[in-house]
Amino acid sequence: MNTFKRFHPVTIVVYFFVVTGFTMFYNQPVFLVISCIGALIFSILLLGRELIASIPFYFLFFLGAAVINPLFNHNGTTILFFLNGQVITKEAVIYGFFMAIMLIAVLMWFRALSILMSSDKWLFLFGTVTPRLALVMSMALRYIPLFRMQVQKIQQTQKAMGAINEDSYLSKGAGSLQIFSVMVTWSLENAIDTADSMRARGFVDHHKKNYKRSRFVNYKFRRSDGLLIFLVILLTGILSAGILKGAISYSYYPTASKLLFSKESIIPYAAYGILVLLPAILEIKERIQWIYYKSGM
Amino acid sequence: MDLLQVRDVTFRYPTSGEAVLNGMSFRIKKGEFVVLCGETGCGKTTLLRLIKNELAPHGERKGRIYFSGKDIEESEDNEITQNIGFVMQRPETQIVTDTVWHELAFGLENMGLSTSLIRRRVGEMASYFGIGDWFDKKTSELSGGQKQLLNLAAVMVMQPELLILDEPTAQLDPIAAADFIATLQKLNREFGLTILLSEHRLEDVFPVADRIMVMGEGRLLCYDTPGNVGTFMNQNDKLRLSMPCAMRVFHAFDFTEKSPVTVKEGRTFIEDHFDRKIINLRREDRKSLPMQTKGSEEANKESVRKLRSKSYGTPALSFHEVSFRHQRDEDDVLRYTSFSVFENEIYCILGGNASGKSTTLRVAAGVLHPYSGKVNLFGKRLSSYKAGSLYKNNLAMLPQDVQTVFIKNTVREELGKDYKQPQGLDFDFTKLMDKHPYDLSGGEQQLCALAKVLQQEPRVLLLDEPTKGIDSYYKAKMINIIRHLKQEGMTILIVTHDLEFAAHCADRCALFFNGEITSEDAPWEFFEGNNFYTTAANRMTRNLYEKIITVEDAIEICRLNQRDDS
Repeated sequence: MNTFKRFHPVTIVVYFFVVTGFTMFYNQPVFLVISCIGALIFSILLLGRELIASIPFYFLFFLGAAVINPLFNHNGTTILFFLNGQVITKEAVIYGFFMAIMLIAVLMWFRALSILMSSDKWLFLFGTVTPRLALVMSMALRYIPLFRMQVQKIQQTQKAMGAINEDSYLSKGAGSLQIFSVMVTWSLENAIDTADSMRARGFVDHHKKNYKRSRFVNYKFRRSDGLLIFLVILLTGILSAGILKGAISYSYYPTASKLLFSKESIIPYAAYGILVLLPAILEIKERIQWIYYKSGM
Repeated sequence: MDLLQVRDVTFRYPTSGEAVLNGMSFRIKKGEFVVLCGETGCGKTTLLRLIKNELAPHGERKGRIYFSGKDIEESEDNEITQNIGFVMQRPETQIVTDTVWHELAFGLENMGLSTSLIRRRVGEMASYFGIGDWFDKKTSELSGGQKQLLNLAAVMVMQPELLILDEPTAQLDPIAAADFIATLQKLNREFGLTILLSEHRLEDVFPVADRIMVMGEGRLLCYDTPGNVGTFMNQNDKLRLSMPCAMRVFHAFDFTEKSPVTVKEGRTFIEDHFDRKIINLRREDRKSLPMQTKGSEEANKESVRKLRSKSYGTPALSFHEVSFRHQRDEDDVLRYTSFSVFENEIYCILGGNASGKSTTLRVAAGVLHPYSGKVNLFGKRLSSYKAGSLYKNNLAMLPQDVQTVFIKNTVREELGKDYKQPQGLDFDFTKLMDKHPYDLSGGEQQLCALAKVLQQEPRVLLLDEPTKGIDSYYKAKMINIIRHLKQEGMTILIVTHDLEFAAHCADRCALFFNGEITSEDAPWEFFEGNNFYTTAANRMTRNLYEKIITVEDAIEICRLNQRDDS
């Protein structure tokens, strides 16, 4: 799944903003199902076998979310049965089911987003708003693994010195405290070195006169980014028009309305389907192209 | 033309009365490669930092420093910042950002360059340094050598005219260090970059330097070509030990010609001036006597035979087909590793970087646990010892990063209030007692950590790279201490990159490669059997004499082969 990764961070974020936005705030059943299918296909392409390991988690999550709603929510007019004196309605069951689908879909979208957007891409986005904060965050990201490694090394050493006895909780606790205190010193010591290294390479306080730091951007906004964003906006327009026209409006309470499949409703459904499947379509298109190139050689 | 001119510089830290630098004056020409050497604490770092104005320490300073004819204190900040690059000792702490590409761009961002220009310079530099493959990596995923190369590239990208390096290879293994020095040489030769480098491992840097600057107690003692400084350095006990092998052999005799510097020149020198009447050194003539059992040649052969048949004493620590990996889905770091360390033996494991040497040691220390195989300590499973009894009077480990040993605020607290120097050991901490352990020099930290670890009164001592980042003076001290501990009956397992060190103190050496011990033998047999992985003294005398592995032995065999007319 390389096609989507190659897009500019802004493009990726815009796409996810729109897709998850519709999923979370427009809870029309068909839309939710489409979104969930799209997220699933995307995840399969992105994760492959890795996805299998998380299926039980998704399933339990889905079950939990679907069951909880009818137990606590007693709105709706069609009574199914009573449980411990609580009324269970058909509408609450339906609503719970679709909310569970929504949660699963959003979960999968966000997981995909976290894979596509590595920390440096987020930093780039932050940097456009506040460059200094972005630098501090970049330094923090550099520092965290360093810190963690040092703690681990100290723990091992101290254990081998018998200073921390893992057979006793008391000794372990006291040891952790001591390690924490020495890590403070260690961090300060390191910070001095890092600050020297920064100054040696011309980093000066930004309050200084006539000093302007520039920002190196490792991403290019290409034509394909423009096209994709244009497509996303276009599809969003069609969708919004369809929603405003009311052709696909749906309500869960007080009685769950019937789903309408008319000529007018097909257009927003199709538009949303295309929107959700865009990454998969791009990926498959590229794979086909690749086979074609190879055979052409 | 002089690029740098230091004129009568004297410097004093605010807290101490003594001057750290005392009337230093020298010039460096454009395109020169100058190596600065001297004992630890002689003011090298202070001098280098004063030249790089941004890093100048606070204190009372007299005298002037001129860069390209301009006083560095009076010129505009940015100009000098760009023109003087500075690389420090520790690879990790100099890295500022989380990704390699951002690190390379950092200095250029500070210069306020445009993205397209930065992209061009960074791309160019990454290609030159061979960073292309790891350009998109996180900085935390790099090896020590890669980190230091990145630090160099991140400075070079700003196109400095003068490059100052403060012991840049001290924390690297010998192979990464040699690569780093080779890169510096390339920069100097191909671009005429002026380099001022402070170092204490001189074997690799002498051959590439134009001039050597020797400092002592804040003064410039000697400033001459590598071939000529030898005469001066030879008079100083501490400095003599740090000279390259060829120079030490040369200066052990009275020859009036020019001193050899490289191993190649050393060979020619020996061929030209010495006979080959005696090619083998008798045991009693060996200056480094690892086995410490002086005896006849017969007894000697006997002990080697025993040693080979692995029936040499009782094993103190033994590995039986031990396998270890860090994560379930990773490759094995140790693969059916088997070896035994016998009682009262010094066993040195040598090997390349990331070969699993350190892991072996940590498994032996019971800090990491193997997933299969047995580790025995005095015939009993290591895992059956309780932590309390294992680390008291049985086993102790000195880790590679000795800073991890220290968790208190002063040396006194670390060692205990009424610390007494153990008999026969050269630990003198009286002056250091009230300092923070982090403020000690590399060598002092190493000794202090060793002293603390020895308080566990172990029977088996595990040492991980005990000579890392320390100068030859402390190295010699370390060798004496280790030999003394052996005499007192301790069993010692050492993991090291340092071939010279192993040649000096090991009873047996072993090569660790690809997760297992591939060969083990007495040091002179071990190094004689290796063609590449061997000491400089051995390389220099190979095919001339047999089984010479240390500089002392090389000098001795030359002495025995001296010609009558000379």
